[in-house]
Amino acid sequence: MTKDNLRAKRRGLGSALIATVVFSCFAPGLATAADLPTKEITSNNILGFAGNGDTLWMLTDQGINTTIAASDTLTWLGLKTSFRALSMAFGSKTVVLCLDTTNGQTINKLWFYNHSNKSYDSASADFNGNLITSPAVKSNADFMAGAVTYGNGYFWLANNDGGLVRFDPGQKSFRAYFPGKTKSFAPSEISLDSFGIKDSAGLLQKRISGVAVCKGSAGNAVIMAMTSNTVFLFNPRDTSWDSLTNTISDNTMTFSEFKNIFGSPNSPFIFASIAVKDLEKPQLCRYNSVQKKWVPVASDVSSVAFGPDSTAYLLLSSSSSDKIRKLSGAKTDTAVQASSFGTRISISMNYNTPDLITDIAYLSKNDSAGALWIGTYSSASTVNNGLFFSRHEEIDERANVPFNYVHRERKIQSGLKEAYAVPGILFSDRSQSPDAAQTVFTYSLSQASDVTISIYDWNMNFVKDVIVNRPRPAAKDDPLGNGRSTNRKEDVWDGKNSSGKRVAVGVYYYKISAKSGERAFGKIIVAK
Amino acid sequence: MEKSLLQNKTPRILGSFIFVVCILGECMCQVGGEAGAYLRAPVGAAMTACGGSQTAEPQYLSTWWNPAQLSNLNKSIFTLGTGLYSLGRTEAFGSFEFKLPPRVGIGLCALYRGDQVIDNLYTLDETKLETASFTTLTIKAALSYLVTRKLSLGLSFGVFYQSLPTSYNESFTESGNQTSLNYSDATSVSGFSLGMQYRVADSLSLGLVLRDIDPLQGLSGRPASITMNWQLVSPDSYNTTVTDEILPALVLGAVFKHRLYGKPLRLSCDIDGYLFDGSFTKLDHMEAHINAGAQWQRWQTFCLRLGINDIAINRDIYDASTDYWRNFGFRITGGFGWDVALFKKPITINYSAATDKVWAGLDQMLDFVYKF
Repeated sequence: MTKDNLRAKRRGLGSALIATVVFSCFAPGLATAADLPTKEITSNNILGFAGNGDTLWMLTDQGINTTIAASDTLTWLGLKTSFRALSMAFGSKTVVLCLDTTNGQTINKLWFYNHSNKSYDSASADFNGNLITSPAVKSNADFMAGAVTYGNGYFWLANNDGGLVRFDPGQKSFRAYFPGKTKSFAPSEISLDSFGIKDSAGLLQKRISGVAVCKGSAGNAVIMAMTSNTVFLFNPRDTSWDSLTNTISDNTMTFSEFKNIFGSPNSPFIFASIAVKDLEKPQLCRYNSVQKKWVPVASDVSSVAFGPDSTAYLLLSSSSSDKIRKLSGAKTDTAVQASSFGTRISISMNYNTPDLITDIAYLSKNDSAGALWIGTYSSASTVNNGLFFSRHEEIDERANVPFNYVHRERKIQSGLKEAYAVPGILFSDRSQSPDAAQTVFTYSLSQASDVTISIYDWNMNFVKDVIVNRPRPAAKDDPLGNGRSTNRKEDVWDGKNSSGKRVAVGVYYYKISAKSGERAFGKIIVAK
Repeated sequence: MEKSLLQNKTPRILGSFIFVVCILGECMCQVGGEAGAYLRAPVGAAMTACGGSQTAEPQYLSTWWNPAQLSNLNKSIFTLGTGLYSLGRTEAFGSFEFKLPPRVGIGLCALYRGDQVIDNLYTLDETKLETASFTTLTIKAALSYLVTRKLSLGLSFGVFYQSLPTSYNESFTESGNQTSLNYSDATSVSGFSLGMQYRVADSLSLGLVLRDIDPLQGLSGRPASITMNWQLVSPDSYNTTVTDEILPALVLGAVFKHRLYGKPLRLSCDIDGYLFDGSFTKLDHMEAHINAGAQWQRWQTFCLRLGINDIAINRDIYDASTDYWRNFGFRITGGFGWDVALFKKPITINYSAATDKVWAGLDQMLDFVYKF
């Protein structure tokens, strides 16, 4: 997943709230409520995946926040820090994270997590800031890598000012490579002009904006480095370079720009998302090595997951819906036919339909089966989202495969005494924390009943009725299996009184009362 | 003679009260959610037991209730007290008041209120936070002057402090989620209250207090409100400043002394009106609260008290009667005063118990008053 891709997703998150997708009509099979551990997952907002085998790394919205999950045992490891990651790659017991360096707090450093030592580490490198004109900033020409992948024992980074950069986490060393040159360079020797790309469009087109790995003809890993108008193939074994054309097989389409590149060390196929002139949405194209042309496959694809035996899962994004399609007929180099697409795959868990699917990943177990992982995101705390996965995703089989659902939510079953508000500290007018601008009342009823939730100030003066006599189910009937009666869309307080005015900073008290006689009190802090 | 005087004036006084109530009844509420909620509960066990209606002639804690009373003190008064409210709310207070004959009275009062057990806070990720606390401290100093035998005026100056957590730090490690709270505070050194007391007769006193205004700000062209400037601390770089303004209150009170079964009976009533903001502009959401109570000195050293506190009056009675009555809350108060000798000193022990308007528990208060 590239930096642009992630940023585009973040931009789309706002519209995703409005455009809640109804997947159930496409769902080939109903998912069952998951009896899975949920507490340890660090966030329900997932930005991207990396991993292989039975180990999955998730990038979530809680800074660097990764979770390791084996699909069978689901043992979780969460790691949260304050800085924000743009992309990551996993390999050799190490996770490398490309950080968002725009806030300046992580300049000149590449961060990685050593899973063997269970610790974070960082490596420094000095790059020339070709595109940075300010001397003060240029001196900190930082590690603005937007994408990273793993192949041939190294991590490979698309570095803004360093081209294709190889990182060895064991030695904490960097080497940079230029298209057409077999020699590697130290970071300080690198200049974008060294690329030898003669393009009047300027330096931006010389930047490596995406990297991916694919399987070469000899079975070895080949690194793909993408600029806006060229895809280079780099063989790490002999440091030789090749490049792919930017011609599209469909004569009605004129190449404009490469937007993203997708590959897998287990697949010889190369996919690229290509912007086409006069078309609003980029086209996902698969490279035909015989014709030496890009063959359009689908429109507006944001992610590709590679399954066994040339199967691929495509995540189609749009403002109105996100859909996953299985591409199972891509065994030859011929153009993909419409019949190659299997049934649309959608995820739904009873009432739970996530707002936005952000990434998909396929981790194989054997030659014919594996697990399909689906990450979702929501910009509001009131919408159910989290991680979906199927344990036994098989080639050409999809119809009856259920999805499991994992999300971060405590399981409560002891009645209203365990009621609480999430979050307990409310920032009602702080745009920096939109998720914290409202609080959700979490409670469980021993029996279905009409519920009223009221807010009071320190002197027990009435502030607001959040809901009045609204029917709520018994906790045991919670469709998500967390023992809750909460309606996460209605049982929400935004920090205003009944007149619509924001309340003052202070501690507030709420009463949850059911007609059945149950009631509970709790406290919230409003910090504005 | 005294009785006839009262018979003449009582209808007019009651009429004035009814008029004020009717006017306020035309107003929309609401005070709930405005800054300074902790300042609106009555202070002192005797006053609380009488429904929080002591503005006309407070028995002690005059610095808080009506500084004009200080110049009418017969003795110096030292007070210490504490309160335990429902849902973990707590308070403690103390005061010292004395008279400088013949016309001046001086008082000093300190009040802590807060909630030290905010123990069910969770993060957005539903990780439980450590127990938090909400702390306030209010200190008032007052001066009173006896203008005439019947009229006295008073002025108090207050310092207001509040502290509570406004954000949290969170880090997720392999040993578990680590969280900590960031506390923010706000201080205001500019709150004034203006009081007036008028003794209509030996058995009837009226009081009028304009509480919690800041004329110094008003003189500088800003709204004359007590402003609490919060520097909200957050773990990121988004620290912000938030200003809350405490609403001024206009309190009208009356105390009527009579006898019941031959024993002294003291009836009292207060109307707390939240009518205008610091610019003295009529509020869109005005509200009035009625407090009333009685104290009966059944025995020479022991008195009983009963009252009703915080009956909100607003236009919802007519416009949204269902909502009004569903949210209608008031406090039923009661207690006693007992004159004892502690350490060879004459001490009055006052105790009060009150419901809390939401039926979550009892609010209890105990104080010791030493007059010398």
